[in-house]
Amino acid sequence: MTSRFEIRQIEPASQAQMIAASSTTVYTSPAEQRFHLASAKAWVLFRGGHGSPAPILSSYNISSVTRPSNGRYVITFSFSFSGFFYASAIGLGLDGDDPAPSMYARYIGNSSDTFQTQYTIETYDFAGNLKDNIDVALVFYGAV
Amino acid sequence: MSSSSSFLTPAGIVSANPSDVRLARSETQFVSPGNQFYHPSACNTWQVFDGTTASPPKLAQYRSPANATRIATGRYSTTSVANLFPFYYAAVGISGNNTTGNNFVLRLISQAVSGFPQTFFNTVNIAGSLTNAPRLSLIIFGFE
Repeated sequence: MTSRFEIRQIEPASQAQMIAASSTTVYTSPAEQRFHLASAKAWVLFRGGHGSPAPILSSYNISSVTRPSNGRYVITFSFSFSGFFYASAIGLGLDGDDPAPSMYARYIGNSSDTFQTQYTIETYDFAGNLKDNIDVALVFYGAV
Repeated sequence: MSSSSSFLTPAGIVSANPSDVRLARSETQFVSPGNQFYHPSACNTWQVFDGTTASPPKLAQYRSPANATRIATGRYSTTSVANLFPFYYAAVGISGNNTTGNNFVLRLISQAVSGFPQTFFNTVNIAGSLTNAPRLSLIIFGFE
């Protein structure tokens, strides 16, 4: 039995190849891994109720977090999503173990130019009032 | 005659070490499966467990070596596999159930414990009272 070895130049995956996620003959580099749709495009943990800009405790691909009013935050990405639709998830944090006041959140988004680069989130208490939360964590998935 | 093909990796293309993956800049190294989680776009750990029992069993997990601990009714902590730095990380989650009318809200509690990746969180019902929830999912992003 003989073996035939084929030496082939292996190229790094392009952004388009990472998004397509189908090639098995190119390699993923650290610089391009973020383009894969399985990769989070950005995440942030920031502190609410401390003025504007909101202090960022840890983040990835986040340019800034501003607080235009009580309970409302505008997150600016350091890149632009390719479309108006992307997935987000939130964690609302507390300091200490007091469960109250309980809060919920909603995001404000529509097909506007800024939604590809900015994301607005509001946090409320259960009485329906806008209220700052101590810690807010957000994660974003989508195509860039 | 039978033959087989093999692909040789050209000299110069090396596996990115954890530091290179974390920096996410190199385009001349490849990301191995064993180091992919160091990339900031990849989550460090996730876990789903049943919060209705005193020692909540893991239902599924990625890099969450220990079971979650139920400290008290509606109060839990989890530990992931490695330290995150600089103490702060983005944690998002959701609590669920299969009973109509029981609404749970997941509250994450920020607490740095010497850099140890321990996350505390509460689940409360729609009235704001601490309540055990049957399905708890937690995803954590940070720098490892």
